Amino acid sequence: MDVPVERFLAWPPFYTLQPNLDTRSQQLYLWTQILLEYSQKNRIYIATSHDFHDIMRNNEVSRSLSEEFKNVLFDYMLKQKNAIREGEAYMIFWKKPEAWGEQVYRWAVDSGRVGSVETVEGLVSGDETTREEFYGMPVNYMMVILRSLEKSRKAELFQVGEGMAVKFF
Amino acid sequence: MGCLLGGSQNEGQPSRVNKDDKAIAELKITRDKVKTYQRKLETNIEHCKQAVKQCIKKKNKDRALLALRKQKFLDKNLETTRGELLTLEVLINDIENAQIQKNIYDSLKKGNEFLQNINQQLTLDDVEKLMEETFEAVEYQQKVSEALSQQGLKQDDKDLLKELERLDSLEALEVDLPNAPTNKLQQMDIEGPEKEERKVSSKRQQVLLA
Repeated sequence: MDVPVERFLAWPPFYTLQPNLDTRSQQLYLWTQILLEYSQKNRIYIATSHDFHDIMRNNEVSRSLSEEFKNVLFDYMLKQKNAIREGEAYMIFWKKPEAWGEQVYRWAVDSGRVGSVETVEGLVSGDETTREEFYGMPVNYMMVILRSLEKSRKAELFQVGEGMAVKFF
Repeated sequence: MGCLLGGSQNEGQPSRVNKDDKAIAELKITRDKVKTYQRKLETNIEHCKQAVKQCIKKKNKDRALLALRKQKFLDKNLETTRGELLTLEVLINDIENAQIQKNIYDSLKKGNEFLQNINQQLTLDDVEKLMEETFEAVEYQQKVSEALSQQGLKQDDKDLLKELERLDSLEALEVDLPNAPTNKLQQMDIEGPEKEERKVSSKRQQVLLA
Protein backbone atom coordinates (compact mmCIF):
# COMPACT_ATOMS: atom_id res chain seq x y z
CA MET A 1 0.00 0.00 0.00
CA ASP A 2 1.48 3.29 -1.05
CA VAL A 3 -1.19 5.35 0.66
CA PRO A 4 -0.37 5.84 4.35
CA VAL A 5 -2.84 4.29 6.76
CA GLU A 6 -3.55 7.67 8.40
CA ARG A 7 -5.25 8.78 5.18
CA PHE A 8 -7.66 5.84 5.40
CA LEU A 9 -8.35 6.48 9.06
CA ALA A 10 -9.46 10.02 8.16
CA TRP A 11 -11.70 8.82 5.36
CA PRO A 12 -15.34 8.28 6.49
CA PRO A 13 -16.24 5.35 4.15
CA PHE A 14 -13.37 3.39 5.67
CA TYR A 15 -15.57 2.89 8.76
CA THR A 16 -18.49 1.39 6.85
CA LEU A 17 -18.41 -2.20 5.67
CA GLN A 18 -18.17 -2.03 1.89
CA PRO A 19 -20.75 -4.02 -0.11
CA ASN A 20 -18.44 -4.77 -3.02
CA LEU A 21 -16.57 -7.95 -2.09
CA ASP A 22 -13.22 -6.94 -3.57
CA THR A 23 -13.33 -3.58 -1.88
CA ARG A 24 -14.42 -5.21 1.35
CA SER A 25 -11.57 -7.68 1.26
CA GLN A 26 -9.10 -4.83 0.71
CA GLN A 27 -10.76 -2.88 3.51
CA LEU A 28 -10.52 -5.82 5.93
CA TYR A 29 -6.90 -6.37 4.99
CA LEU A 30 -6.10 -2.74 5.79
CA TRP A 31 -8.00 -2.81 9.08
CA THR A 32 -6.10 -5.97 10.05
CA GLN A 33 -2.79 -4.26 9.37
CA ILE A 34 -3.90 -1.31 11.51
CA LEU A 35 -4.93 -3.53 14.43
CA LEU A 36 -1.75 -5.59 14.23
CA GLU A 37 0.44 -2.52 14.23
CA TYR A 38 -1.54 -1.04 17.11
CA SER A 39 -1.22 -4.29 19.08
CA GLN A 40 2.51 -4.49 18.50
CA LYS A 41 3.03 -0.87 19.54
CA ASN A 42 0.95 -1.23 22.70
CA ARG A 43 1.98 -4.82 23.45
CA ILE A 44 -1.58 -6.08 23.28
CA TYR A 45 -1.33 -9.88 23.27
CA ILE A 46 -4.85 -10.82 24.26
CA ALA A 47 -7.67 -8.46 23.44
CA THR A 48 -11.36 -7.92 23.01
CA SER A 49 -12.73 -5.27 20.67
CA HIS A 50 -12.73 -2.90 23.67
CA ASP A 51 -8.96 -2.79 23.57
CA PHE A 52 -9.18 -1.31 20.08
CA HIS A 53 -11.79 1.25 21.03
CA ASP A 54 -9.47 4.20 20.44
CA ILE A 55 -8.35 3.17 17.01
CA MET A 56 -11.77 1.93 15.82
CA ARG A 57 -13.34 5.34 16.24
CA ASN A 58 -12.54 8.70 14.72
CA ASN A 59 -14.32 11.63 16.37
CA GLU A 60 -13.05 14.08 13.80
CA VAL A 61 -15.13 12.45 11.09
CA SER A 62 -17.73 11.15 13.59
CA ARG A 63 -17.27 7.55 12.57
CA SER A 64 -16.73 4.28 14.41
CA LEU A 65 -16.88 0.62 13.52
CA SER A 66 -20.24 -1.04 14.02
CA GLU A 67 -20.51 -4.25 16.06
CA GLU A 68 -21.22 -6.10 12.83
CA PHE A 69 -18.08 -4.67 11.25
CA LYS A 70 -16.01 -5.70 14.27
CA ASN A 71 -17.32 -9.25 14.09
CA VAL A 72 -16.57 -9.50 10.38
CA LEU A 73 -13.12 -8.07 11.00
CA PHE A 74 -12.26 -10.51 13.78
CA ASP A 75 -13.55 -13.41 11.69
CA TYR A 76 -11.28 -12.25 8.90
CA MET A 77 -8.33 -12.09 11.29
CA LEU A 78 -9.08 -15.59 12.56
CA LYS A 79 -9.11 -16.86 8.99
CA GLN A 80 -5.82 -15.12 8.22
CA LYS A 81 -4.32 -16.69 11.38
CA ASN A 82 -3.53 -13.26 12.78
CA ALA A 83 -5.81 -14.02 15.70
CA ILE A 84 -6.73 -17.07 17.76
CA ARG A 85 -9.81 -17.35 19.89
CA GLU A 86 -9.17 -17.30 23.63
CA GLY A 87 -12.54 -17.64 25.33
CA GLU A 88 -14.34 -14.38 24.72
CA ALA A 89 -11.14 -12.65 23.71
CA TYR A 90 -8.61 -13.03 20.92
CA MET A 91 -4.90 -13.62 20.95
CA ILE A 92 -3.46 -11.19 18.45
CA PHE A 93 -0.46 -12.37 16.45
CA TRP A 94 1.26 -9.49 14.69
CA LYS A 95 4.04 -11.99 14.22
CA LYS A 96 3.07 -15.57 13.32
CA PRO A 97 3.61 -18.12 16.11
CA GLU A 98 6.22 -19.86 13.92
CA ALA A 99 8.24 -16.64 13.64
CA TRP A 100 8.00 -16.11 17.40
CA GLY A 101 8.99 -19.73 17.86
CA GLU A 102 12.18 -19.23 15.89
CA GLN A 103 12.98 -16.22 18.05
CA VAL A 104 12.47 -18.15 21.27
CA TYR A 105 14.53 -21.03 19.91
CA ARG A 106 17.33 -18.66 18.90
CA TRP A 107 17.40 -17.37 22.47
CA ALA A 108 17.59 -20.98 23.72
CA VAL A 109 20.53 -21.69 21.42
CA ASP A 110 22.35 -18.44 22.18
CA SER A 111 21.99 -18.84 25.93
CA GLY A 112 22.87 -22.52 25.95
CA ARG A 113 19.40 -23.79 26.88
CA VAL A 114 19.22 -26.52 24.27
CA GLY A 115 18.85 -29.79 26.17
CA SER A 116 17.71 -28.13 29.35
CA VAL A 117 14.35 -27.50 30.92
CA GLU A 118 12.68 -24.12 31.43
CA THR A 119 9.30 -23.21 32.81
CA VAL A 120 6.96 -21.35 30.48
CA GLU A 121 6.45 -18.81 33.25
CA GLY A 122 10.21 -18.38 33.51
CA LEU A 123 10.46 -17.68 29.77
CA VAL A 124 8.06 -14.77 29.88
CA SER A 125 8.91 -13.34 33.30
CA GLY A 126 12.27 -14.75 34.36
CA ASP A 127 15.52 -12.90 34.88
CA GLU A 128 17.15 -14.48 31.82
CA THR A 129 14.76 -13.12 29.21
CA THR A 130 14.26 -9.52 30.29
CA ARG A 131 15.96 -8.24 27.16
CA GLU A 132 14.00 -10.48 24.78
CA GLU A 133 11.08 -9.27 22.71
CA PHE A 134 8.93 -12.07 24.09
CA TYR A 135 9.47 -10.99 27.67
CA GLY A 136 6.17 -10.06 29.30
CA MET A 137 3.96 -12.24 27.13
CA PRO A 138 1.06 -14.01 28.80
CA VAL A 139 1.83 -17.66 29.55
CA ASN A 140 -0.93 -19.05 27.32
CA TYR A 141 0.25 -16.87 24.43
CA MET A 142 3.74 -18.29 24.84
CA MET A 143 2.18 -21.76 24.91
CA VAL A 144 0.83 -21.26 21.37
CA ILE A 145 4.33 -20.30 20.25
CA LEU A 146 5.94 -23.28 21.95
CA ARG A 147 3.37 -25.61 20.39
CA SER A 148 4.46 -24.40 16.98
CA LEU A 149 8.06 -25.06 17.97
CA GLU A 150 7.01 -28.50 19.11
CA LYS A 151 5.74 -29.24 15.59
CA SER A 152 9.24 -28.70 14.24
CA ARG A 153 10.59 -30.99 17.01
CA LYS A 154 12.70 -28.23 18.52
CA ALA A 155 10.85 -28.25 21.80
CA GLU A 156 8.63 -30.43 23.92
CA LEU A 157 6.07 -29.13 26.38
CA PHE A 158 5.08 -31.04 29.49
CA GLN A 159 3.03 -30.44 32.55
CA VAL A 160 4.44 -30.65 36.06
CA GLY A 161 1.92 -30.12 38.81
CA GLU A 162 0.15 -26.88 38.01
CA GLY A 163 2.86 -25.47 35.81
CA MET A 164 4.04 -26.04 32.28
CA ALA A 165 7.63 -26.62 31.36
CA VAL A 166 9.46 -26.89 28.08
CA LYS A 167 12.58 -28.72 27.01
CA PHE A 168 14.51 -27.46 23.99
CA PHE A 169 16.20 -29.79 21.53
CA MET B 1 -7.39 -23.65 26.72
CA GLY B 2 -8.11 -27.37 26.80
CA CYS B 3 -6.58 -28.00 23.40
CA LEU B 4 -3.54 -25.92 24.30
CA LEU B 5 -2.80 -27.91 27.42
CA GLY B 6 -3.61 -31.21 25.72
CA GLY B 7 -1.27 -34.15 25.12
CA SER B 8 2.33 -33.14 25.38
CA GLN B 9 3.56 -35.72 22.89
CA ASN B 10 3.84 -34.70 19.29
CA GLU B 11 1.95 -36.92 16.85
CA GLY B 12 2.59 -40.18 18.66
CA GLN B 13 6.34 -39.77 18.80
CA PRO B 14 7.91 -40.93 22.05
CA SER B 15 8.51 -38.23 24.60
CA ARG B 16 12.04 -36.94 24.89
CA VAL B 17 11.42 -35.67 28.40
CA ASN B 18 12.83 -37.89 31.14
CA LYS B 19 12.43 -38.18 34.89
CA ASP B 20 15.32 -35.82 35.59
CA ASP B 21 13.79 -33.14 33.37
CA LYS B 22 10.55 -33.37 35.31
CA ALA B 23 12.37 -33.07 38.63
CA ILE B 24 14.20 -29.94 37.47
CA ALA B 25 10.98 -28.52 36.04
CA GLU B 26 9.31 -29.02 39.38
CA LEU B 27 12.05 -27.08 41.15
CA LYS B 28 11.88 -24.30 38.59
CA ILE B 29 8.11 -24.08 38.91
CA THR B 30 8.55 -23.73 42.67
CA ARG B 31 11.12 -21.00 41.97
CA ASP B 32 8.57 -19.20 39.77
CA LYS B 33 5.99 -19.43 42.54
CA VAL B 34 8.39 -18.00 45.10
CA LYS B 35 9.16 -15.16 42.67
CA THR B 36 5.47 -14.44 42.19
CA TYR B 37 5.02 -14.44 45.97
CA GLN B 38 7.96 -12.07 46.23
CA ARG B 39 6.33 -9.67 43.77
CA LYS B 40 3.13 -9.83 45.77
CA LEU B 41 5.02 -9.02 48.97
CA GLU B 42 6.78 -6.13 47.29
CA THR B 43 3.50 -4.54 46.16
CA ASN B 44 1.99 -5.09 49.60
CA ILE B 45 4.97 -3.41 51.22
CA GLU B 46 4.62 -0.50 48.83
CA HIS B 47 0.93 -0.18 49.76
CA CYS B 48 1.83 -0.22 53.46
CA LYS B 49 4.39 2.54 52.97
CA GLN B 50 1.77 4.68 51.23
CA ALA B 51 -0.70 3.97 54.01
CA VAL B 52 1.82 4.98 56.69
CA LYS B 53 2.45 8.27 54.88
CA GLN B 54 -1.21 9.05 54.51
CA CYS B 55 -1.99 8.22 58.14
CA ILE B 56 0.83 10.51 59.27
CA LYS B 57 -0.58 13.27 57.06
CA LYS B 58 -4.03 12.74 58.60
CA LYS B 59 -2.36 12.71 62.02
CA ASN B 60 -3.88 9.31 62.73
CA LYS B 61 -1.06 7.94 64.87
CA ASP B 62 -2.65 4.61 65.80
CA ARG B 63 -3.38 3.67 62.18
CA ALA B 64 0.07 4.81 61.15
CA LEU B 65 1.68 2.59 63.77
CA LEU B 66 -0.45 -0.35 62.73
CA ALA B 67 0.48 0.08 59.10
CA LEU B 68 4.13 0.44 60.02
CA ARG B 69 3.99 -2.74 62.08
CA LYS B 70 2.48 -4.58 59.13
CA GLN B 71 5.15 -3.20 56.85
CA LYS B 72 7.96 -4.39 59.12
CA PHE B 73 6.40 -7.82 59.31
CA LEU B 74 6.17 -8.00 55.52
CA ASP B 75 9.76 -6.77 55.18
CA LYS B 76 10.94 -9.64 57.33
CA ASN B 77 8.84 -12.02 55.27
CA LEU B 78 10.41 -10.72 52.07
CA GLU B 79 13.89 -11.16 53.49
CA THR B 80 13.17 -14.80 54.33
CA THR B 81 11.73 -15.37 50.87
CA ARG B 82 14.84 -13.94 49.23
CA GLY B 83 16.98 -16.41 51.14
CA GLU B 84 14.74 -19.28 50.14
CA LEU B 85 14.85 -18.22 46.51
CA LEU B 86 18.63 -18.18 46.57
CA THR B 87 18.71 -21.68 48.10
CA LEU B 88 16.42 -22.91 45.32
CA GLU B 89 18.47 -21.30 42.61
CA VAL B 90 21.71 -22.74 43.98
CA LEU B 91 20.13 -26.17 44.09
CA ILE B 92 18.86 -25.90 40.50
CA ASN B 93 22.31 -24.79 39.40
CA ASP B 94 23.97 -27.69 41.22
CA ILE B 95 21.63 -30.20 39.66
CA GLU B 96 22.21 -28.89 36.14
CA ASN B 97 25.91 -28.96 36.78
CA ALA B 98 25.75 -32.53 38.07
CA GLN B 99 23.76 -33.50 34.97
CA ILE B 100 26.52 -32.21 32.72
CA GLN B 101 29.11 -34.10 34.75
CA LYS B 102 27.10 -37.26 34.40
CA ASN B 103 26.92 -36.70 30.64
CA ILE B 104 30.69 -36.35 30.53
CA TYR B 105 31.13 -39.50 32.59
CA ASP B 106 28.75 -41.45 30.34
CA SER B 107 30.57 -40.28 27.21
CA LEU B 108 33.96 -41.20 28.64
CA LYS B 109 32.64 -44.60 29.66
CA LYS B 110 31.25 -45.25 26.21
CA GLY B 111 34.48 -44.11 24.58
CA ASN B 112 36.51 -46.37 26.83
CA GLU B 113 34.30 -49.36 26.07
CA PHE B 114 34.60 -48.66 22.37
CA LEU B 115 38.39 -48.48 22.58
CA GLN B 116 38.56 -51.76 24.48
CA ASN B 117 36.25 -53.35 21.97
CA ILE B 118 38.54 -52.32 19.12
CA ASN B 119 41.60 -53.55 20.99
CA GLN B 120 39.98 -56.93 21.55
CA GLN B 121 39.47 -57.35 17.84
CA LEU B 122 43.16 -56.69 17.34
CA THR B 123 45.28 -59.33 19.19
CA LEU B 124 49.06 -59.12 19.04
CA ASP B 125 49.32 -62.65 17.55
CA ASP B 126 47.02 -61.62 14.74
CA VAL B 127 49.05 -58.54 14.03
CA GLU B 128 52.32 -60.53 13.99
CA LYS B 129 50.83 -63.12 11.70
CA LEU B 130 49.50 -60.43 9.43
CA MET B 131 52.90 -58.72 9.29
CA GLU B 132 54.62 -62.02 8.49
CA GLU B 133 52.17 -62.70 5.70
CA THR B 134 52.63 -59.23 4.37
CA PHE B 135 56.41 -59.70 4.37
CA GLU B 136 56.07 -62.97 2.47
CA ALA B 137 53.73 -61.37 0.01
CA VAL B 138 56.17 -58.52 -0.57
CA GLU B 139 59.01 -60.96 -1.07
CA TYR B 140 56.98 -62.97 -3.55
CA GLN B 141 56.03 -59.81 -5.36
CA GLN B 142 59.68 -58.87 -5.66
CA LYS B 143 60.54 -62.26 -7.11
CA VAL B 144 57.79 -61.98 -9.66
CA SER B 145 58.91 -58.52 -10.55
CA GLU B 146 62.52 -59.65 -10.96
CA ALA B 147 61.51 -62.54 -13.17
CA LEU B 148 59.50 -60.25 -15.35
CA SER B 149 62.20 -57.61 -15.65
CA GLN B 150 64.86 -60.15 -16.72
CA GLN B 151 62.72 -61.29 -19.57
CA GLY B 152 62.25 -57.68 -20.46
CA LEU B 153 66.04 -57.18 -20.63
CA LYS B 154 66.49 -60.00 -23.13
CA GLN B 155 63.86 -58.48 -25.30
CA ASP B 156 65.60 -55.10 -24.99
CA ASP B 157 68.99 -56.64 -25.84
CA LYS B 158 67.79 -57.83 -29.21
CA ASP B 159 66.57 -54.36 -30.07
CA LEU B 160 69.74 -52.77 -28.81
CA LEU B 161 71.96 -55.07 -30.88
CA LYS B 162 70.06 -54.20 -33.98
CA GLU B 163 70.41 -50.50 -33.26
CA LEU B 164 74.14 -50.92 -32.68
CA GLU B 165 74.62 -52.68 -35.99
CA ARG B 166 72.81 -49.90 -37.76
CA LEU B 167 74.95 -47.20 -36.13
CA ASP B 168 78.12 -49.19 -36.91
CA SER B 169 77.36 -49.28 -40.60
CA LEU B 170 76.71 -45.55 -40.61
CA GLU B 171 80.04 -44.91 -38.89
CA ALA B 172 81.92 -46.80 -41.61
CA LEU B 173 80.70 -44.35 -44.23
CA GLU B 174 82.11 -41.26 -42.46
CA VAL B 175 85.64 -39.88 -43.25
CA ASP B 176 88.27 -40.16 -40.51
CA LEU B 177 88.81 -36.82 -38.81
CA PRO B 178 92.17 -35.88 -37.13
CA ASN B 179 92.34 -36.54 -33.44
CA ALA B 180 91.97 -33.66 -31.04
CA PRO B 181 95.27 -32.69 -29.27
CA THR B 182 95.74 -34.53 -25.99
CA ASN B 183 98.64 -32.53 -24.43
CA LYS B 184 97.87 -30.10 -21.59
CA LEU B 185 97.93 -26.37 -22.19
CA GLN B 186 100.58 -24.44 -20.22
CA GLN B 187 98.87 -22.25 -17.65
CA MET B 188 101.74 -19.72 -17.46
CA ASP B 189 101.16 -18.82 -21.08
CA ILE B 190 97.61 -17.75 -20.38
CA GLU B 191 98.29 -15.71 -17.27
CA GLY B 192 101.55 -14.17 -18.51
CA PRO B 193 100.36 -11.31 -20.70
CA GLU B 194 97.69 -10.35 -18.20
CA LYS B 195 100.18 -9.90 -15.38
CA GLU B 196 102.40 -7.79 -17.60
CA GLU B 197 99.49 -5.60 -18.52
CA ARG B 198 98.74 -5.01 -14.83
CA LYS B 199 102.32 -4.00 -14.23
CA VAL B 200 102.07 -1.51 -17.07
CA SER B 201 98.88 0.02 -15.77
CA SER B 202 100.29 0.45 -12.26
CA LYS B 203 103.32 2.11 -13.74
CA ARG B 204 101.06 4.39 -15.68
CA GLN B 205 99.22 5.34 -12.52
CA GLN B 206 102.51 6.18 -10.81
CA VAL B 207 103.42 8.45 -13.71
CA LEU B 208 100.05 10.18 -13.56
CA LEU B 209 100.35 10.75 -9.82
CA ALA B 210 103.85 12.14 -10.05
